Amino acid sequence: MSRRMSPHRRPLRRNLGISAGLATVALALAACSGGGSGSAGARPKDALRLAISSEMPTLDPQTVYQYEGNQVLTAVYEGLLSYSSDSTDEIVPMLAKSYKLSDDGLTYTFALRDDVTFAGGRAMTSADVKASFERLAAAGVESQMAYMVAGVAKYQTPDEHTFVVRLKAPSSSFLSLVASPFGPKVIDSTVLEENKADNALEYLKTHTAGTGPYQLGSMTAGQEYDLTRRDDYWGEEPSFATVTVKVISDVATQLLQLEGGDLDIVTGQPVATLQQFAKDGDYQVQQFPTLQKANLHVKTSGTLSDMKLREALRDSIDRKTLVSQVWGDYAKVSGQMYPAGMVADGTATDTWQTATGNLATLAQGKTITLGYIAGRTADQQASEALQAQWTDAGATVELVAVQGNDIYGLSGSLDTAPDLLFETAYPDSAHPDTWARLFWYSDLTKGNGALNYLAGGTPAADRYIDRGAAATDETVAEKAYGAAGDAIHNDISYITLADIDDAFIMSKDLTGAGHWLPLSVTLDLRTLKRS
Amino acid sequence: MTGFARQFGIRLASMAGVLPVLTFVVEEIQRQLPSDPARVLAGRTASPQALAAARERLGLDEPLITHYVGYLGRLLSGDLGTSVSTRRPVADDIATYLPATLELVLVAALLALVGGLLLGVVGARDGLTGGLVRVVSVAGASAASFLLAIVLLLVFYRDLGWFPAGGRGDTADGPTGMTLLDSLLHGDPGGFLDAVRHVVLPAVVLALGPAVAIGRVLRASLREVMAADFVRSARAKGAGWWLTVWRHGLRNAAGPALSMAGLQVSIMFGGSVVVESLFSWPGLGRYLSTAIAASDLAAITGVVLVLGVAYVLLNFLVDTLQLLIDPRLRESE
Repeated sequence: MSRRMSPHRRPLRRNLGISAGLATVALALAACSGGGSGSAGARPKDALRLAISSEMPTLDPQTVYQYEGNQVLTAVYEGLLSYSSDSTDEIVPMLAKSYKLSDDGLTYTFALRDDVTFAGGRAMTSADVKASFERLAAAGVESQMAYMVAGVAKYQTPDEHTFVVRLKAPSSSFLSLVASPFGPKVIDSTVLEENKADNALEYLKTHTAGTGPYQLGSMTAGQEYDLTRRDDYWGEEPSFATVTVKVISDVATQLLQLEGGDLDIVTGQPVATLQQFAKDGDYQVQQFPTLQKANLHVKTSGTLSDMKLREALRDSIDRKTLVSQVWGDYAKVSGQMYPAGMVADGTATDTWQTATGNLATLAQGKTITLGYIAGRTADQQASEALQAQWTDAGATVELVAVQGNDIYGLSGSLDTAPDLLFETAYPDSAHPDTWARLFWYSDLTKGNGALNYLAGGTPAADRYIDRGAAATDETVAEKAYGAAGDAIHNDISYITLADIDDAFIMSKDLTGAGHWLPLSVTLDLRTLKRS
Repeated sequence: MTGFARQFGIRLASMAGVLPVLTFVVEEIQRQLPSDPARVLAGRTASPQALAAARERLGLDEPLITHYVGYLGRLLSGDLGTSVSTRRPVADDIATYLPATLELVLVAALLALVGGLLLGVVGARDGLTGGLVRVVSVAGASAASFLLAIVLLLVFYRDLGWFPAGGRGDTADGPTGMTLLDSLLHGDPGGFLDAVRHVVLPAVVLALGPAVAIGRVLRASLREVMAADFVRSARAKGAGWWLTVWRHGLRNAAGPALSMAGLQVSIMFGGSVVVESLFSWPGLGRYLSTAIAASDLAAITGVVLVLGVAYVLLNFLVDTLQLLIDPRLRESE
């Protein structure tokens, strides 16, 4: 494995009075070293260094279901369609040049590009696409994204560059899932065939076999992924010859490495840090809209079974102050039940006139519990701010820290669940079904409402959601999802608070950053350049 | 060696007793938590069928005792279950991350022992130097590892550029997974120095607290021994302070310090969680913190087991060392 040479070093700034012996040893080590340390000089022209805060369990694009893994995977793998990298909800062609939908809403015919090759040089055909889609649903793969193709009846490959998907029933969200950053990615079918004994799970943990502009050069478990630019990429050649993605869990350490010149981009930083770096001439803070939304799940049984109390609680929330306190300029006050831009303006609205009203009277003698996910600093901060607002309005509110994955068990033990749960959530695509079905669906028996932690929602809203999903007419679908949002708003089993932006601190010489609306903490490496 | 054999037997028995209790407690905690590991494994959008399959695979539909007995059986064959967050066998994960933690803890332990020895011996002496060392000890003991790490990073990484901010550097391919050792085995001095540069800051942070603790115990013990009649006699015969410490003091005062060292090194494994996170050290501590955040109970249980074994083994090692150093203990056995 090659050892990277150290970039420019900063001269000693001050005499720190450290003992001469220690200094000699340390300087000798530094002089003999190859790794970069604390350099704030010129950054390498054709190399990009970024950080992610957690290690990827595997490089398999069909089993990684987390935001940060996509920083590597979106550079290596591609799907048939994609969301536009200008952070809008526009769906654009990728490996498919175009698509057609049959009149009955059941058959999608994708015309594939004929100039796509996998890393290694083999040309992509419809057989690769079919094998990749089928693998997503394979029982042995246990993909968490398998639901995206659960409604598929069959696949056909009439020729090398045509791929046909026949659905069991019309699905207005199917195309958005194909374009989703978490959606089906195309993998070299020869790799899948050669490793079919375990569905290539083991191989794809540490190897890549995609069509993207980069391929994996090397990786060190738990430390970093080194990507190298492909010479035979079908699209425009990206600017950076190499991209290093480092695993650094501590945000303060990330920041130090940015300042030291060992990183070019960091994200996930606290608002105060963003504000500080926005004023620093050596850096820029770039902000992008996302589908991340801060919400309150409301338990409509127990203490909050009284609709008037739920309404008084909601009305006493001053969202403008809350957003300012917690997210500063990096979020907007929510105006709709769905993430911003998911449904038409003016539909599924979630607005109220802030007023403490009779909350004190209605909440008298009651203790309301507000849960938040432990370890999420912003969530805790927002919960504390809400607690303060409600306390000022005369209610008694206690905070409860819920361990990360324990939230999945709340709907099964509602008696002990908190009355409210603060959560920052995101859908898999910009289609309203990927939000409403997961968070609001009240009938939990059919696998819907997986994230309806406090069992909210109403049967009427369920029917609207189903109607929207089955609609072949876009207007009908929009109307149905709008009505579902209104039903949940009126039931007050869900309160929306803020639409949260993504923010990246970058060295000032970087330009052309692209960002996908449904994918936080990830940038499009195809367009990024150093000026 | 009768005493040694007896001691070995006691430690083995204690290990055999401690580990099942540990695993049972962790299993019971898993049952009591409201989390659903099956949901974590199958995903937030999993169908009821996929959820049921995941539940069966994890053995969550079995009664506690059945599940626990099955777990112990699998444990004996080296199967620690599957991590729901990495989706890999926990044994494989531990094999991947343990060498990094072992390397860090071993280097930190070495630093702590040397530092503790210096602090203890110099601090035991009356006068300005001894007083200064005592002040430094108190200051060191009160420094939070997080704060110390940040200060070291600011000074030695950002400002001076002497050491990297994190990671282990370029790791050599086997055989131990410990970069320092592997680079030596591969005859790669450049790789060795690179590994040293990467391990220095995290090891210093991890070692400081234990070094101070060991030093304080050694100092107290040494001062007591140095006031004993046989030492005063030795000094009256003209032996210098340092020579007396070396010949008589350390040997007789080392017992409590060794006990403290064993305890502190055991604690280092726990302390590595914070240090590994701050220095992006890809070890078991960071794996554990990720597992806790994800309620990954199989991974947590696996790590707890490893730490339990390490604790028992370390204590065994310390007891054995004490037997070797102090003949009075051998006689009492």
